[in-house]
Amino acid sequence: MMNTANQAAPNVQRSTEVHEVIVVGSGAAGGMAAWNLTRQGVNVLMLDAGTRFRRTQFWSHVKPWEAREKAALGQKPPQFYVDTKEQPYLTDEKNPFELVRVWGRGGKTNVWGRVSLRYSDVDFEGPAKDGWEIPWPIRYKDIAPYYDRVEQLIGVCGGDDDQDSLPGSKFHLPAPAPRCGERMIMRAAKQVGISLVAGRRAVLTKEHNGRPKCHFCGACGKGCDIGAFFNSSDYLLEPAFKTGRLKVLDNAVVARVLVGDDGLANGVQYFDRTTREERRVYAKRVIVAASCIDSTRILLNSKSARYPNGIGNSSDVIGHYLTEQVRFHMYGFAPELIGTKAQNDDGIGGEHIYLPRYNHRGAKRDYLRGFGSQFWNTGAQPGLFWAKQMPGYGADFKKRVKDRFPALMAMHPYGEVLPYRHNRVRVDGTPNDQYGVPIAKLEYRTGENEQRMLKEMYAMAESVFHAAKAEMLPFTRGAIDSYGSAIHEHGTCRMGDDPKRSALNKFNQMHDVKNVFVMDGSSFTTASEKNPTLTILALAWRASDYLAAEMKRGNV
Amino acid sequence: MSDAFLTTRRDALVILAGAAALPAQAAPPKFFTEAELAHLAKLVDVILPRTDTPGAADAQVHVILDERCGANAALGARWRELLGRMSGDPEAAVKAAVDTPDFKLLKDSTIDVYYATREGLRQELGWNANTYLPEWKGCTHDEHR
Repeated sequence: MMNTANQAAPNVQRSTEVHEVIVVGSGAAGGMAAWNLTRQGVNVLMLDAGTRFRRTQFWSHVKPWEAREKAALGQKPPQFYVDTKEQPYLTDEKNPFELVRVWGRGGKTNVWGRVSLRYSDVDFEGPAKDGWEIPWPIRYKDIAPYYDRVEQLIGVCGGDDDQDSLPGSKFHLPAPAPRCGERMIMRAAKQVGISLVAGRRAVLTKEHNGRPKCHFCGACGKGCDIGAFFNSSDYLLEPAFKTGRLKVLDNAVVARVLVGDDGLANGVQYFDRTTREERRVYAKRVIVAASCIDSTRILLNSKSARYPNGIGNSSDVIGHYLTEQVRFHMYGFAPELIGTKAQNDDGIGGEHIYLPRYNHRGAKRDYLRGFGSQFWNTGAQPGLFWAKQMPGYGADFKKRVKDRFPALMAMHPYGEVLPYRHNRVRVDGTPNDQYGVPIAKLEYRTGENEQRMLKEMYAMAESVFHAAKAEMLPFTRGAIDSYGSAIHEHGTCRMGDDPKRSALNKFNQMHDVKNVFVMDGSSFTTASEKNPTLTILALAWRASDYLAAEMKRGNV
Repeated sequence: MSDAFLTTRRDALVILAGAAALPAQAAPPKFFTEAELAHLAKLVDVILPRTDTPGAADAQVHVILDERCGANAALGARWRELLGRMSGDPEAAVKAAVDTPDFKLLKDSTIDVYYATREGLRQELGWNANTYLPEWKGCTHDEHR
């Protein structure tokens, strides 16, 4: 028999305090909500499923060979990623979905890719124009002031470009110059009529708001030892603590949102990750921001007599319309760079250029939505996965590898996946985790539309490499990277104007339960081809502004 | 440029000092027998031999693989099968194995491990990054525009 949200065992520890706001999750969305509410005078209790990652313990400057030496001494870097042995999830064996979770202060922002692209009205108006699933309840003008604020707060470098599919910004920090291989990609793309722009990344290319600038060590994926790129812990939670209005419960794995007799949420049930004890904390409002899949699991598990299929789910859309992007990787070697001396190509980690969406222009395509492209790994980068794809062995092979090391050009196109009802997170009939809470099952597959888009994506990528006269690494046309690998899950608690077809209104507030807000990627109506974090931050800022105003008005 | 050069020289001295100390350090294998480990050293050197820079065995690729097998019995068993099939003259064994899963395991693992060592990544490929740079210049070649 399932333990529903409102049947607590008699020995469960309950705090009697009723908090003003509970925030579940400390990543981009939860951090933003906590920062914005506390600075407006609201007291916040945050529940984080892990603990703080200490920057002094990051292995940012540990060379690959030093990792082995340190491991031999029993040292290890911070363990960012949740082990599926501790917290399993189910996935379809034929269509496996790779779920990446970071539990701990700041969540995935500790190690995120930092690509920061504004969504445009090409994105927000897409579904209204093509009629696939529900329209977004907001347009660019609604979110533009928040993009401005987020960029000024966190620091995003980029160029002065501005186009319909990628709106410009007055607030970009200086864009880093491209690497040699990136110049060659730009030149080749231009020959086939594609204009690339400066990459946009949340990396401080100069000192910003008192924070130190990047020192171009390229190790962002191991966490930044000086905090020169946005992470929620340093940039949002630390300032929020200084207001005296933020409290954080560490190692608090939230299971369910609790509901009162009035149908409103009144707190959350959680389990202590170290002791496994069940606990409850109470509040007048609850913000769920545990990342798309974990938030959805919490909402679906929050079953009660009032909300038999999960809190706020009278529309039965929660858990459905899981979406992200299809992507693939294509590699070649720039002939001008083969056999040259390897340079330090670290830069700001990741590419310094971007290919914005262009397929909404010109002839109408035989598919909906669009794609862009990223180019990370271009240049002399450690991790020689590509050498395994070159034939041969021996001294000649070794020479060919060395010659090509400085010359790698990499292309990673991302295409939007349509929201499909069959793509979903479910908790019905799944086994329980160690706390007795049903785990998530992810069911996901892409379809015809994505196949058709991929044809153009492959043709585009090949044409650029061809124009660059690149020596190609082998690839399989139409192949895609594993589902989930983009780490851009969206859509399973989507916003919309129609309460029958969406769970949230345009301010991330539940249609059904006015004192519950869901602020992470699950709130997105569509995925777009872009990386979502900048938009998550802007939406969370906007939603928490609305919540603070509604609290003042006594409406929630 | 001068900073990078100094770092390289300092590291070269460190590498020399380490190399001199190696015979005294030789610890017993974690997984393989001495004979297996010696044969593995020859096999990885067929994939990436010593040239004017260190080869795979110079970079201790076989020792690192032994450590990994010591920590993962299933992996060790897989390698032991490979060694059983690729016995005898190492050059001939590798040549005969091309296009087999054994060859792929040997080649891929040698590449993964070698190009993450000081010898492979820094000495052979000339990688000298993941370091502090006061400024980023990017491509400065007019001919690349």
